[in-house]
Amino acid sequence: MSRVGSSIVGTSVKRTDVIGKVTGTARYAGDVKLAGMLHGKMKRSTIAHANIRRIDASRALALPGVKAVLTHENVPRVLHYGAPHPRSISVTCDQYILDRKVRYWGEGVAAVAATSEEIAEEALDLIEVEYEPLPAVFTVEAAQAPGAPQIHETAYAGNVLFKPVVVTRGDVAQGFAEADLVIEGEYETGRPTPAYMEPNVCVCQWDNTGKLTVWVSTQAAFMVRGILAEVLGLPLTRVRVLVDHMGGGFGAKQDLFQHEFLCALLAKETRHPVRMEYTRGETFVGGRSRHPCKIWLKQGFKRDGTIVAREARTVFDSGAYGSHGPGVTIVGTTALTSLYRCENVRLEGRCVYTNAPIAGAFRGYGVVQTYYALDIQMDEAAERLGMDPVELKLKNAVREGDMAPSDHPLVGHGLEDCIRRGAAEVGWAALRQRPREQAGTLRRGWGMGCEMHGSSAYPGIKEQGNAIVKMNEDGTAVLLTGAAGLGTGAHTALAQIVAEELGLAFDAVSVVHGDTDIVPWDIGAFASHTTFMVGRAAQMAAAEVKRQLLQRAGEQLEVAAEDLEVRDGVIAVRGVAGRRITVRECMGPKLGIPAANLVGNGTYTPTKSYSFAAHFVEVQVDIATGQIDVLQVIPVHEVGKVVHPIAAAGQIEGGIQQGIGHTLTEDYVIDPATGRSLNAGFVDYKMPLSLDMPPIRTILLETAPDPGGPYGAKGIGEDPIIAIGPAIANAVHDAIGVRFRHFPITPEQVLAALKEKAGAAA
Amino acid sequence: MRPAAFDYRAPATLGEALALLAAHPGAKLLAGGQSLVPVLNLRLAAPPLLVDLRRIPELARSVLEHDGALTLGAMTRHRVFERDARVRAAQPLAAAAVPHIAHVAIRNRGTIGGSLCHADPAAEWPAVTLACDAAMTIAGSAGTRTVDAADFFTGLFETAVGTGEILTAVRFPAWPARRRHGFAEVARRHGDFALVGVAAAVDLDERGAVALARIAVFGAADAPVLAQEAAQALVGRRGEGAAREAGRLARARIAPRSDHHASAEYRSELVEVLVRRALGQALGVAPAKAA
Repeated sequence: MSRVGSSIVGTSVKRTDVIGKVTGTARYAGDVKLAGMLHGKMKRSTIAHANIRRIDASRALALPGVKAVLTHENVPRVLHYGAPHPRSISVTCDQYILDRKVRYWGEGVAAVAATSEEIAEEALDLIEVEYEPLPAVFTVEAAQAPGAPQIHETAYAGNVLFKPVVVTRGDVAQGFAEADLVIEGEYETGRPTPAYMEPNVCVCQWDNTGKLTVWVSTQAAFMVRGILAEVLGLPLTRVRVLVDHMGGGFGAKQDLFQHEFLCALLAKETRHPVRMEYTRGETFVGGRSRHPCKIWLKQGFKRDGTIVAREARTVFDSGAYGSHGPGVTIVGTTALTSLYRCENVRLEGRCVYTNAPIAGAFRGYGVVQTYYALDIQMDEAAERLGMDPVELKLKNAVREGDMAPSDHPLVGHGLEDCIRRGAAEVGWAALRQRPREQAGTLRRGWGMGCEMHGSSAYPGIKEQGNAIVKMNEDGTAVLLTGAAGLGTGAHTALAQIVAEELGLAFDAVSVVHGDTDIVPWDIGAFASHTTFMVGRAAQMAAAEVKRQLLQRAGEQLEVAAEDLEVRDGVIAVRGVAGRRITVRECMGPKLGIPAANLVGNGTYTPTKSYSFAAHFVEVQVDIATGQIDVLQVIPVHEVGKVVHPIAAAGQIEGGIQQGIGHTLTEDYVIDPATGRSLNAGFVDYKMPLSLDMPPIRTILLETAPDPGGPYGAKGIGEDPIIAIGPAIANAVHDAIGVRFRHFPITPEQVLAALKEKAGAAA
Repeated sequence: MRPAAFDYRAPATLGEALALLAAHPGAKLLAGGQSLVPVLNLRLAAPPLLVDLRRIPELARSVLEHDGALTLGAMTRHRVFERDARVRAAQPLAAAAVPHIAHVAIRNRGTIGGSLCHADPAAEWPAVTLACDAAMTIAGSAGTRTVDAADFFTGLFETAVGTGEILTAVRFPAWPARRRHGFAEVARRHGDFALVGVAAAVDLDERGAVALARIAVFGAADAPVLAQEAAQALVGRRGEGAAREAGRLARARIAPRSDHHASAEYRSELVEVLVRRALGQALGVAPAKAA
């Protein structure tokens, strides 16, 4: 499908958002300033689990400048979904705007609108809340113990969110019976948060027709519209959601948070526009973290490395609300059917409510957790089998036609290519043989990790990408898309695809996005599907416009449209020199009619495609202080077709940065006794910063293009965060001979493990 | 992340600044703002008035005396130690410590006096002044007084600077020809406050044995502490064995606390390792590369 001479797709054109961002003129939801605008603030609970016995806002309302106070007593009590996609299996319906009960420390219990942020904050202290404390549980074990307090009446059983997912393929017992080596282990992952740069923010305004306009930082504008309309009892014609630029989302900004509803209601109550913005602390306390997860994994191997059985049980901690708990549990658990082929598999995944902060969608969506376990266990197996882990992984790497986690035969098998290319790049075979330098207290090691991840949420959600492309009378074109621009360069990629398909220059295509009243319906920017799915829809819409364009040109040139081609803004008769017309000339006024209405509509309903990666990592461990430094990363990604090399590499580097944070430094910590947040801020929550980043030598492969993606392109958004974790853990093992089966791995734990090892050896 | 409302003044003389402090109890001095402004933004403090010291010429004045003693005005920015070779040569231990202070942008704005008066237990400057036996000059309505570093840090975020007083300068005695130094710290990320750090100054005798050592350990207690026993045990010795023993002695004498960044036990371990490393650098038994 990729045509010869294709030049825009595959080129790092100047991104559509770059000038606005570097000059500070790009507009974000938080930049919206409206006449008479009030400022909203949320009061948050100081207890993790309690009924609200009494709430008294009278002193707050008496404060000059306060215009309204909302509590559970005066907001609609509508049980609703907090995340896309209502009525899909991926999400839960367990939230109220404000409830009579609080389920985690920091849950919103009231909201104030005032003439300034300072007054609103002051008013929060004047709202009196009397709690009737309930027993609280902060671990999945405590939540599942007999007699544990039930957090939600809507749960499947006790605190278990939904019926545990069970996947069975082949005969596991038979598989283990045939195994020469059986390995089992328990793995545990921490609670990192997405820590997007732009805090959650929205501005709400009602007009005199009763229509609500919402400026908001969200990945899923149409979902915000749908859920707001449903909860507030409005038709979709009465809710308009606007999203311009965004400062990141990483999955978490698919959810609706309490403040969007409260902001709309405060605006309605006060008849003024209201702005609500989270503080940095609130993005932790009231945001969405990754699901902490415990994984029990057992595999059977033949002596030659063939995997003959795999069994796993996973338990995901959803925190106080369900959000994406079912989706994350299903995707993370079923991912264990694949990556390394195995015919006999039995998996069980469950998701549990606790009174911890809410976990939600986060780049890597459950797979970060389960592939961490799987890829570390592969390293353990290689050691026990006396094999090179690269050889073991190559031997078992998933292949074309194997059943993917989505229960579809895989198209393309980029994994082997990634492993081979990375191994060649770092000289893996020689590294394995090298003498270990032992300079003082520093030890170095190499490790590698693999991953595959689907572009699109299919089959959990049946998705649809939409695009409209229309021609201007000067020969330029406009793309209308609902896909959000999280900061990934999605709009640039979509414009590249349209320009490529239409035979126009890149700057001849403009992008309109972020207005639910104007752009075609969009499911949201997530699941690594924007370039893949919306890109394909944009390509289809552009192809339709091109058909209309060539039809018009054919009439003008008096040739059949089929004999025409368009390239670089020129329409020419194929094989006939000189018979040509520019797109501009073709689109110009004809017979006194100023413009033609050429519009293409594209809709694409994908199944699933998978991208692949292998990450090779060198670490250095100081055995006296326990400090781990990542010295270099060589990520190899197979993405079908690279649309924008710099943006793709940027995604990969960012994912690696987050993944290094997950593995070594980041953990959102709560007090185990009270559930109180202990490090809700960038001083104490330790994301790696630019100075902490190692050199990254990214390699992009196009060896397994997907027939469904535009020009064969597949997703790249989530993949980079998955393989880096086990690669680091495996490299640490290579360096110091200590096997860690959890993250984050702290220096303190490294020292303790080294002491234990020395003690055992003595 | 916005401070509560406050008044702001930027006096041009020390006298005016002292008068403002006297007239406005609760006023805070703004010396560079790299600690104070975050504290204000996080609403951990809400002073009614900020007195900005940046316009007072004498606070920015530094003097390198003929004998090598270095007096730094309290408003001297950290970054001087990365830009001025003479300053660096005059005080090599400070020069080794400064790159560990936060990030370049912060070192450009942050001041030595500000850091000393903030007295964060994990900050580098207090330990450096302690190891170098520096002396602080403090101005008040009754005139100026001088306080040795050993008496300056009185507790967690507490110093000898009293209400209504201003630290004006810090004086480092001349660096002896036979003084060696070492500096080591461990932080979770580049630029973070140290979990534990050590600044050591070691004077050798003519035979190359230790004559006098000052080992300042920070991040392990409410204020930086001198590991006196460890320093004593070094006298007359040289080599790696001496550094090892000093590390053990320092660990035995210092009882750090736990927080969610590190346990007391891990910090104790770091005290031993980092004292050993800093002394190893000073005694020439390890590369002078910071941990």
